Amino acid sequence: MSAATSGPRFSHVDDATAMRASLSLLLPDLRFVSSHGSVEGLLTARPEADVVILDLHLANTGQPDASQGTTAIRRIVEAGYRVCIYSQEERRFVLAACLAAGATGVVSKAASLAEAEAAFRAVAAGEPVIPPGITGLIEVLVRRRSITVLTPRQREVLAHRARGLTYAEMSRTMYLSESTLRGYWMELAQLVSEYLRETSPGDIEHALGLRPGDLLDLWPG
Amino acid sequence: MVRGFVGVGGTHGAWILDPCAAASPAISDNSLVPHSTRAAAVRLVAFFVAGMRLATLAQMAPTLLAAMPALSRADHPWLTGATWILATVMLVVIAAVAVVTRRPPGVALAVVDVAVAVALLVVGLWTVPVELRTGSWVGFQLGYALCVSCSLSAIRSRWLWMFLLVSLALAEAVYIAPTVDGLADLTGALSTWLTLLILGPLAWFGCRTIVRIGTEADEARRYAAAAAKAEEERRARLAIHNGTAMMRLLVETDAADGNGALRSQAEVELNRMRAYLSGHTPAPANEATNLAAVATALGAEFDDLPITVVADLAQDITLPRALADDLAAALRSLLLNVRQHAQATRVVLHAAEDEDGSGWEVTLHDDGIGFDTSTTAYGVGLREVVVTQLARSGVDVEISSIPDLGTTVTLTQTTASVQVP
Repeated sequence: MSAATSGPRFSHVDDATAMRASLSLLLPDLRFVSSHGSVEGLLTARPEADVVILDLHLANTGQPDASQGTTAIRRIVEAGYRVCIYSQEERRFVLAACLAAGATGVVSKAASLAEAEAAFRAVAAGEPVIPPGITGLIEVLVRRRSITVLTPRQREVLAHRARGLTYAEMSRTMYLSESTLRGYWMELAQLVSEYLRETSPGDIEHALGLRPGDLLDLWPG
Repeated sequence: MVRGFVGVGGTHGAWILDPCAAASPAISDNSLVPHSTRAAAVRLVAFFVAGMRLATLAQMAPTLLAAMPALSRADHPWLTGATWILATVMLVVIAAVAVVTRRPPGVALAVVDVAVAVALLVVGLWTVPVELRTGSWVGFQLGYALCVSCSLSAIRSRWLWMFLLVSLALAEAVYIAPTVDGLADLTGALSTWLTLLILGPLAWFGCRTIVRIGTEADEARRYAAAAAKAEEERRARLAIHNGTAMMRLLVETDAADGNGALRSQAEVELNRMRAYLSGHTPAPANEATNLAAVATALGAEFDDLPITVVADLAQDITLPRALADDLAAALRSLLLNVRQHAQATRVVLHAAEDEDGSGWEVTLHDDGIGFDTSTTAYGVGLREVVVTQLARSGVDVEISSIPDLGTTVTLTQTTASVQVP
């Protein structure tokens, strides 16, 4: 499937044939073990992969009933894989719903290949990859005391991440090592993921100041 | 002499003085320019001196006319006539010089003036009978001396002025001493003598104070003109900086045809420059605007950048229109910098209210090439459009950058930093 023979194993799910064929060629240093046009195909094949790189929109005229969105994420997570969303979707609440459904990371297809590769590797290492836009939403939930379990350090890390700062930059201002900061971030993301999974859409709507029902269609059921 | 009319369009214009002239307290030098308060003050002093002279002459005139027929019967007719002529000539000459030059007599003329007055007092011992030395203009020397003592305002040296005044006082004392014959005469002579010693210093001090006030008014005007000039230049830089950056982008990227955002920004900057050139600065409306809206609008303007706007926590922050415009201009300038120089793959514009509600913070971060803030001088945009302009609204600007890691600009306004009008 790809030239790389060591490192974390990736499987790619995308309904676009060109994407499936090209991603492993564009990221030759990643170890791709399989690619699939649908979640159903992935779950049937059950490849030995650590991370599934998943496009959000999979239904098309060729496979109108294919699982997609938060449903697809849940099925893959329940099958024991880590999920990294790789999509053109930019609506923050949709991407937040993906995290609520169990995705570990969200990467935009507009990101550079280097950035995408780094993000996939981070997800494989168990590190949540959350874009600043969604981090900003988490910041709102924390500020409005909907999420109350974070420590002051975690809140500080969250504030810096929401402003786009990298670990290297945070390390210089907070006088902590990058690995320590990464640890804070992973703990924080874990707590946030649990919160998103366990909190009803209505409560989140209320905390974010949304209208009732705004998240209902997006949120995993 | 350096003179100039500063300011644009005459709104802030003011004649300025030669700085060297302003630094000098002399009031009879040649450094004055027409439209200065100091020049007007010096003219006033000159007219005062001339007025004193002419008033003295007017009071001497009737006595002179009455005395002329009897001059041949005096003890020293030629000497007496000479003193009258000398006094008249000096009074006329000094008054004429003051009116023509519009300055009080200079130091040399003042010294000569005092010397003549002293000489007249001394000669008066022979030409004026003792009984006519006080209470009569036949003995004009006392009135003349008083007039001279009030005309010394051009003398800067305190010691020279005191020497001249004491000379006059001593001469006057010698002149009136023979009139004292008993206590009643002594008090009369003493009051005459003290009149010179009081009015002379009073005139000197008053005239110099008036001129000093004029000098300080000119300095204040010059300071205001310099401040207006600096403000005008700042406004010009503010109006033009972003526009020039836009034009450079349009030229360098050849994006005029396809890039709608760039064209929209160029239009905004064009309107700003036209408003500046026409002198019609848009009146700040009282409508407030939202910090989140400002950040979001700026993000939309620069959607060709990999920018993410995070402004959920800024929804409750309302800004005065003027501050919103300044903030937008500052962020636009910063984002133009990012577009031109940063080579960033990720840009985050974050706006939020402080947790304790005491203010707000806007952060613009890019992961571009960064720069060394200790060795890199800020450009016009960063210095004028961002730091200086926002400081006027109480917004602090902090710029931190790490080469190869990125740049973070933090704009902060706290309640304490806002000046209550």
